[in-house]
Amino acid sequence: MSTGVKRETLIIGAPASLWLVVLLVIPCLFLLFQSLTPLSGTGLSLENYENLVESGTFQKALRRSIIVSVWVTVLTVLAGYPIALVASRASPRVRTLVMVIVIFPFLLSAVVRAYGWTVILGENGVVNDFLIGIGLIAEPLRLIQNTFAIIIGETHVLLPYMVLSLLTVIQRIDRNLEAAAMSLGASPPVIFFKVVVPLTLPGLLTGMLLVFSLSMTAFATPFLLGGPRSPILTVLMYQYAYTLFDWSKATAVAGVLLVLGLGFVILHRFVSRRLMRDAEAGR
Amino acid sequence: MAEVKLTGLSKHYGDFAAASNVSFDVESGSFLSLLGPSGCGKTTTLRMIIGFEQPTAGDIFIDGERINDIKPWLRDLGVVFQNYALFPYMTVAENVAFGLKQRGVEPAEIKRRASKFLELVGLPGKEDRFPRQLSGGQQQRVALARALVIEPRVLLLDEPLSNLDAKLRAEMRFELKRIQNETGVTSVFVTHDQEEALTLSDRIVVMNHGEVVTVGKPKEIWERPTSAFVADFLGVENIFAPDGFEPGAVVIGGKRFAAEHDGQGNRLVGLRSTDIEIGGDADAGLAGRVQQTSYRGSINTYVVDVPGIARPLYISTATDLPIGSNIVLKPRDGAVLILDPDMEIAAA
Repeated sequence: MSTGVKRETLIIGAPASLWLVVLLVIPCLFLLFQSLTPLSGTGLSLENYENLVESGTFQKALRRSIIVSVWVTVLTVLAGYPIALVASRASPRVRTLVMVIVIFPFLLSAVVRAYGWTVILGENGVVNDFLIGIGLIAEPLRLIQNTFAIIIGETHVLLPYMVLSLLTVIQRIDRNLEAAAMSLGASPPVIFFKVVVPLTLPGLLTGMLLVFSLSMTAFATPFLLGGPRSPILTVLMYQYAYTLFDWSKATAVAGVLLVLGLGFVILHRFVSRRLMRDAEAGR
Repeated sequence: MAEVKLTGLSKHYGDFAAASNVSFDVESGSFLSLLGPSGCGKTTTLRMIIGFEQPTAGDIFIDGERINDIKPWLRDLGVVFQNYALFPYMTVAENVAFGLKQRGVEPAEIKRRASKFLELVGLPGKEDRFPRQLSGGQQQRVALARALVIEPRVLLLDEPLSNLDAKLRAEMRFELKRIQNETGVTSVFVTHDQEEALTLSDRIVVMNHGEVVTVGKPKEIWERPTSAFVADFLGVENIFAPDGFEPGAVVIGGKRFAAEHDGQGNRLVGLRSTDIEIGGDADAGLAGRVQQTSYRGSINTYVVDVPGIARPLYISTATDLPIGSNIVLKPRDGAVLILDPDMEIAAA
């Protein structure tokens, strides 16, 4: 960290730091310590992790976590660009409307959001009623309590992060660059891929890292929409801890998530710092 | 090379007319400037030619073809912007190649043509630099090469020299003229700088409040501005209402001075500070008293109070005139400009 930290800064930061150390850092260290304590005997070993990695349930949950997060990241990018473009280029009135719609999920509790998706995707939900109504299917589709439902729910929750990340960089684009590309013969799709995307890369990468890591560590929405039979890592951890009372496995999953989460924070800092430097160098 | 023709081009935003009934021709291979203060409609007119704005009325023709409904990316026009608008993440060569790539030109041919045009703009060997590694003048040269390499039907320049400092601006002005001569590309140049317009153009269109005020060759517009707005914009310091007109003469401060006019009243007269002579016969000239002086080196400017004229006159002369001295002055022969009263004359 920077060398010239002022005494005032230390004094102002002390209460918050103390709070974080007592309530976050110490419990995390305690958790890590517990995950390294084997059931049999004393001392430290990786036994809990070895058991965990060998278990098929863990492997499936890890794979599911990654699949969900990749899909959520891709979907938020695909939905985020058009929304951010509209929001940044529309009249102030339309922009406000778009932003309210995008931000609104933030204001709801996860339970309310999940219940909303149940109403839409459930057996007697809007989607199934419609598909049966137009005669496309005879029996209701299983759209909830599975990985699909987690992906839909998480995309909904995490879309604002992507839109806000993209919006900040789209608003900084010099419109003359798009005009120049157009005069040189680039049609709007070409302009999007050759001018808008390269210029918004920092925001895109920030958004993707943010969405991916939040999706990996999300609990409430996957728990409510995914059901017990297709747990992702966080849900699996909950099941070990509160359904099976297998604390050694639960703490090991927590350890995995902790390392993953820290890894993403470090990666994010590294990438954003590099991009900031490049952006500054490039005017 | 192509000829451009605008007929009755207008752009309205609600009740506001950004451009109103703009018509002019640009001869094939010639250089035309759109000159006027900010908000006069010159940039709006340019943007309609490029296709960034849709006209509310009127037509744009290039070589007789109406292009109103042609998409901007299919118009084959080269555009140079005030802020250069180079793609920051591309090298100089990639910037110049952009338009050729869109046209599906072979990579080897792209390379050849890019080098050729970088040489034309005086930047050979800078292919692998990034825009941020170049000075403002060099960036504008790259922008020129990028616009010209596609061999556009028309080159459109939106205040391309305004971001450069004074010395570089003068240098780039000559460069722009040389490059235009060498390529022979039909050019439309938007500027608020009368000097740029006068030195570069074959013809100048002066605009104000969204309308064309006058069209003419630089010499015509400079020597014989037809309206008070044009004269004021071209830096004619003294514009005022005369006492009256007589056949072949204008009466100022009770004295007659020769001036050609069509006999219509309600006109204003214009007089450049450099077109006023000092001394001579007191009966034939105007008596004045020096109020203020501003030192400018070889030629100084004086503010002189002349009884019978509402505003003090600005006079530029090499003669040394102390404040408070009484002088006799008169316009040089044929220097009195007769002007349409198309703007308010500020009170003294």
